Formats: sequence, structure tokens, C-alpha cells
Amino acid sequence: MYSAGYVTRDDHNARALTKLQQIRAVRINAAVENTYRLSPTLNRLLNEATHRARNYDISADFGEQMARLIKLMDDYTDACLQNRIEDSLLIQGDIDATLYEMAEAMNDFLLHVRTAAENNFGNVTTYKEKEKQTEHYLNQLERILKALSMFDGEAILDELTPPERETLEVLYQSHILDKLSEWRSRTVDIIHVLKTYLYKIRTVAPRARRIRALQLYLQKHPEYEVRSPDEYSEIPEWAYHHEPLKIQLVPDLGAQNIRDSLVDIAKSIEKAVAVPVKTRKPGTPVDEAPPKAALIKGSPLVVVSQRLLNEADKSPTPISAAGYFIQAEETKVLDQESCMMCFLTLVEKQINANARIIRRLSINHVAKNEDDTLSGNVIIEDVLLCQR
Amino acid sequence: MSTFARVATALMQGGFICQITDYEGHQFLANTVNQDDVDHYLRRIDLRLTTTRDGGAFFAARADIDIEGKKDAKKRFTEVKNVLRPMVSFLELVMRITGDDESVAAGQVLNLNQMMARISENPSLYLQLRQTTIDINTKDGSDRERLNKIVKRFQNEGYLLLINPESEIYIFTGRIEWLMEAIEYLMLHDEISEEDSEYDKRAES
Repeated sequence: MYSAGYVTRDDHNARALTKLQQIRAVRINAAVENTYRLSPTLNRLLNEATHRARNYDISADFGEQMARLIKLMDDYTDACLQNRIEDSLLIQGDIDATLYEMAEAMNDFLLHVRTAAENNFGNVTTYKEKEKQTEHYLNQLERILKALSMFDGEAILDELTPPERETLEVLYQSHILDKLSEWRSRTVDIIHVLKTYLYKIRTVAPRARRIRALQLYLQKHPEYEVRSPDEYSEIPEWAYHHEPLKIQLVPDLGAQNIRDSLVDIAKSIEKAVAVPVKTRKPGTPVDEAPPKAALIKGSPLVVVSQRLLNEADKSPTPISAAGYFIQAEETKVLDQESCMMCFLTLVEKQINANARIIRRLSINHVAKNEDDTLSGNVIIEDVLLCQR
Repeated sequence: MSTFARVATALMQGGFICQITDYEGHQFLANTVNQDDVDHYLRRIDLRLTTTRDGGAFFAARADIDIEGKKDAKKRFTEVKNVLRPMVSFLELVMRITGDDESVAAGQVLNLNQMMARISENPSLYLQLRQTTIDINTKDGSDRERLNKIVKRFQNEGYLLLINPESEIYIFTGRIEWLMEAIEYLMLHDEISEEDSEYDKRAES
């Protein structure tokens, strides 16, 4: 089995390997004993057939081909001048093939690098290797740019000016010059992509790796804390970022021009009526006498009359109103006739109002001149009250 | 206000001048004559002009690296200490979601809606989001609210810039370069291995 770049000779493949060695398809591998490896030519052919990508596979070295081209053109001129038609045609064919190879090599190179760059050099796994490849191809592309300027340089164009080289000039135009601007544009594009990618690899990738690693570390070490700068060997530049200053601008009222400006500003402000906002103070409990309204009492006569009605409501025996007024503290000092007159007025009002207390009472008037029926006056001297 | 005045003021206020936050200012500082001019001005107040390693963001640093410089360095280390866990977790989350290592660099766009959609599809991403919110002491609210809080915090600290409020699209600023340098420094000096066993596998895939 052919692996790791060689095949080991054993009893089964010994004869076949010998035959392959005879036709120079395989060579003895000097690095490992008793092994064979493919010849470089066959290896290249297989790589081409299987589209296998190899690191640094394509070279941007067109200098050698250019030197060969110039040599062929000189030979062509010699053949033409010496009238060797067959030789000149043969050499013209060689030149055509060389130009074709150069154009195709250029196309292949640009396509290969573009694909590798777009795939972020997916044929290698580590970022270090990707960085190396990017640098390599950037270097190659710089050389390509030089080669492109050589392709339409004065030196080569001068080489094509002699009249006998007119056919070569046509070939050179179609194979190289017509494609030059496209190659330049593609090269510049790829250089841009590679430079961006190189920046990403060099700056972004380590930074991202650092963040991921630190996040992992902080999760595993909840006790970790940043120490004081004194505990580190040196204070880094970023730490000298100064404490922000608080800047406040105050107008200089001493300057006339500032005052004038402020007047202008003040004039531009719309007038507004200032409405002072009254703030109510919260109240506090006051320890004071009950309000006067609560102290309002009925007159002594009304109070005693009401008391009399209430007592009579409960009394089965008649109570004399005149006697009650004389005994009561509030009314005993008053004029008794007036008291009786007021009591009668009160009772009359209660009767008119159909008060409940009156409805429950039996009220009998005692007239002074009851016997003198013809006198025309009824003088009430007492009222007897009891429950009905 | 002239470009010089704007840039100098922003630098004194602790700002980072990058192509994302102030394109014109960054172009202005990229010119060495202007750089010297601004640096000369800052040195009069004991500051100096400096830049992240690759020149992506300019910032003002202490001119005196002994006394005042060390005081500021302590504050910056504390700042990094506070932001390190949630930020690293968040950056790793963004890289996982986008599948692109370059997605956490200055100038890279962060689409919150797309991010949330991916998180809701993947339980592992969801867990990581929860862990990140715990790191910034924000546990309450829906997943979307949590993500918003994380992004809001990094926006307030200048790592992200909101470029489209309607679509909730952010962009990483040049300040992220500053944090990357801090991470690199800490990993080097605290001897944290940069080897990521998953890394080469990913490269292969």
C-alpha cells in the first residue's frame, strides 16, 4: 500500500515493483529501507489528475520562462535572417507553447491562491501553518506584480519590434498583453484578501483565543481577582489612563462681550409667567379641647322639659310639671309662670309635630279657674303627665 | 468648537478618541504635528497623549508615572477587576453567537435583536447570559431585560456605542482595544495559559 509517500517491498509486490523501477515509474526510497516512491514526474501527473493541493505548490517565478522566451526569440530572428524557414516555424511553435504555458501558469496560480485564500487555507489545520502559507503567497504575489510589469515593460516590447518578429508580437499580444489588466486586477484583489486574512490571523485569532482561554480560567477559578498594580513587576501603559476630569464652563460675567451675549440669549428665551408652587406642610395632630359646637346645650327649661317628658313616659302615676320645675336645679330659680308657659308652648309644638314621646304620654292640663267657667280665660297652672 | 478644542476636552474628560466615537478627531490625532500639539497642551496639566498599541484609540495618560501615575494605575486596575468577569463572559458570548472571532473588535456591529434570537434558541447561550448578569449583579427581569442591562453597562463605560436606537444596533468602540491589552497583560503576568484546547479543533472544522 502506498502511504506516507512510499510503498514497502514485500513478497507480494516485489516483482511488480521491479518492473515499475525498470520503466522509471518508481525509485528506491533512500530515506526508509526497502521502500519505493513514485518518480517526481509521475507524482506531478497524479496530483494534477486528482486535483491534489500541495503547500507552496505553485510558483510565481516567471523570470526563467521570460529568459527562455527571449532566447527563443533570438533564435527565431537568426533562423528568419538565415532563411531557415523550417527552423523558424519550429521555434515559432515553441514560442507559442511557451507563451501559452506562461498564460496558463498565471491563471492557475491566481486561481489557486484565490481559492486557498477564500477557503482560509483549509488544506492546513493550524493557524501557524495558515499564517506561513499566507505570508508565502503574499510574497509570491508581490513577485507576480513585478512579473506583470515586466510583461509590458519596455525591454520585452523592444524585443518584439523588429519586423521579422511581427508574428511573435501577435502571439505575445493574444497570450499575454490582452490578459494583463485582468491579471493585475485579480492579483490586487487577492493581495487585499490575503492581507486582511493575515491581519485576522495575527491579531484577531490570538485575541479570540485569549478571551476563550480566560473565560474558561475564570469559570474554573471563581476566586481569581485582579491584584493591585504594586504586586506586578511593571505598570503597563494602559494603566496610566488618567482619572477623568470634570470640566464645567462658567460664563465670565466680568467681560462685556460675554454679558452682551447673555443678554441676547436671555432675550431669545420666551417669557413665561412664573407660578409659584405652594407646598403644603404636612399636618400634625393637635392636643386641644373639643370644638365648641359639641358644647352647645339646650336652655335649662328645654333640658328640664325633655327630662320631664322622658320620666313621665316611664311613670304610671301622673307627674306634676309645676312641681317638677320647682324641684329641678336648673329651673327652680326661674319664674315658674314663665316656665309653665314655655313648657306648654313646647308641648304644643311636639303635639303639632306628632312626636313619638308625646304619643306615648297622657297629658292633662290643670286650670286655675276651672270653677269659673264664665270668666272667658283658661289659666293653666299645671300639667299632669304620665304614660298612657 | 475647533477640532483641537473638542479633542483636548474629550481627552481631559477621560475619553478615548477612535474612528468610531470621533472619526474627525481620530484623523486629526493621526497627524504627528497635531499629536505633538495636543501632547504639549496636555503636558501643561501633567497629562500626556498616548494610544493603544495598534493606534486604534488615543487617550490621555498621566505624565508623571511615579506618584500620580501609580494612583491612577490603582484605579484602572480596580476598574478592570470590576469589569473583567462580565466583559470576558459577554465577549465570549458574542463570539459564540456570531461564530466570528473578529466580532468583538473595534468597529464591529452588535445587533441586539439577532443576538437575543440566537440566545433564545440555544440553552447553553442562555445559561451564559444568566451567568453574565450575575457577574454584574443584575438578576431580575426577563432575558431581554438582562441583555439590555449588560449592554447598557458596557455602553456607559464606553465600550459600545448605540448607533441605531430603533433597531438596537451597537458598535464596539476603540476602547475595547484598551481592555484587550489589559487582558493580555493580566494573562501574561498571572500566568494564565492562553492555550485553548477547543481552538485548534475549531480551526480544523
